[in-house]
Amino acid sequence: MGMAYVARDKTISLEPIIEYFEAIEKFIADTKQIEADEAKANEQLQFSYQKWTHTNVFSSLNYSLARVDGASVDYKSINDFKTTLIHQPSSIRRISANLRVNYSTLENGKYGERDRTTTIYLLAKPDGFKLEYDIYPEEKDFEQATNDFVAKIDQMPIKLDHIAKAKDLIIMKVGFGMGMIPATILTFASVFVPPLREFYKNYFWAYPLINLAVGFIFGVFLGGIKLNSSYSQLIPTKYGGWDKRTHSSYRVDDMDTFSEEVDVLLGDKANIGSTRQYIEKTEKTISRLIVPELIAVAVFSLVAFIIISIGGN
Amino acid sequence: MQESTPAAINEQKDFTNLLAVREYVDDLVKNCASLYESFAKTVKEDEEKNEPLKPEFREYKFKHNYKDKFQVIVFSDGSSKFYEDYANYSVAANGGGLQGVSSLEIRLNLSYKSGKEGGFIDHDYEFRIKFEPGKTSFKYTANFDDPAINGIRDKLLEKLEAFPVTNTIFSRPQ
Repeated sequence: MGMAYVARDKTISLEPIIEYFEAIEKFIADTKQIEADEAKANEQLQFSYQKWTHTNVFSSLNYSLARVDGASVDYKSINDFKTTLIHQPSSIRRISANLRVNYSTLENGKYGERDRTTTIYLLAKPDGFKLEYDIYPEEKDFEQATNDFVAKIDQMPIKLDHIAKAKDLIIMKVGFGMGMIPATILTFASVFVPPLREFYKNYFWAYPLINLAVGFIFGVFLGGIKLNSSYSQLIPTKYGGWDKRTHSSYRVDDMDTFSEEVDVLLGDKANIGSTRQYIEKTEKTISRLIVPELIAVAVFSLVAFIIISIGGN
Repeated sequence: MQESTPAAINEQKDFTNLLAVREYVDDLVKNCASLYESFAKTVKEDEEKNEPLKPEFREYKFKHNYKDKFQVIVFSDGSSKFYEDYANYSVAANGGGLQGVSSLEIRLNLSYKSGKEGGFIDHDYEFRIKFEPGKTSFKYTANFDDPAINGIRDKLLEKLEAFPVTNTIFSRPQ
């Protein structure tokens, strides 16, 4: 009975797919080896005395690689395109693998079931992953390899994780943290740069807040640009409506499509993994800076205030 | 296992002073029947071992050649009766079938073929032991000198030598 596995909401790397292709090829090689061993064992026997568990083995394996430049290439072995898959995944927009293995049994001069057939169809593209398999029940090893592969894909990181769900918060947090850097510098300058300190003297109650506000706006703007660019690779957008003020349409994040689809690290999604890592790393790094930055602004403001209060200028 | 070598054996022994006592004859017949059964079993096993093989891969040590047989022939009054196993012989003997016989002959043929398909070699071995009034003869013919068959020959001679003998002035040393 055929089974189908369609992955959803996963970020799928290519390593398990490559490993599975190797398992497929091992399955073919093992099947042919059994036939060869049995041929040896049956070589001297008359037909009616021969016993085969694998005879008339037919195997067909075809890989098809569609490139982003439109070209499509067929391969017979993973070894022929493994290097491309590992080193140039961005050049591939679709991989498919088609396997068919079937053979007969023979005992007492009679062929057994002729439908000992195993078929596999695997399709991987940047936004989709599908595996259809129909494995003959006695192929325990290959069945196990397939089940392990499905389990491995199923355990891949989910797409709708903290990074995706907390997009706005992360952008704001990173922007604030980044903005706090110029804010801290401005506040620091207010202690040691007399014209600024003079300005601070007149507006001491508002100056730290102005520094923070300027830094925040600056940071959110810069950080937003940087992270929005990274997020645009992660989350698809959809038509969001018509903006009457600008007389143009605007787009919003399409979270439904996002969680329905998978990200296979191929083609335009080949670098999704590193993009996620970048966002995650940026968030962590900037988050660690925020508290020290706030303390620094408070301390510098206080020092400036004290200097002004004791009459320094 | 020692190999057999081609030979032309035609061995004959006479036991003129041997008394063909019923129990001893029975025992000899029983032994010959048993030897033949063992031989037939060996041939059958080797044939069964080769049967599944394609003809070009068959190699027989013992293949049935249709000359082999075990027979007890009882001659009386111009007629003869053939017994091909000990059971039938025994039934006949116990039913008085050995009374008044003119002679009794045991024929034990252990012939077989050996070798590969298309190149068989015939191995012919035959023992004939004939009991007649006042004369018992042992005849062994073979086209191979085979240590295993020689063992059978020795065993049969041993059996014959165990028969009671008369001690008359006509007795000849054997």
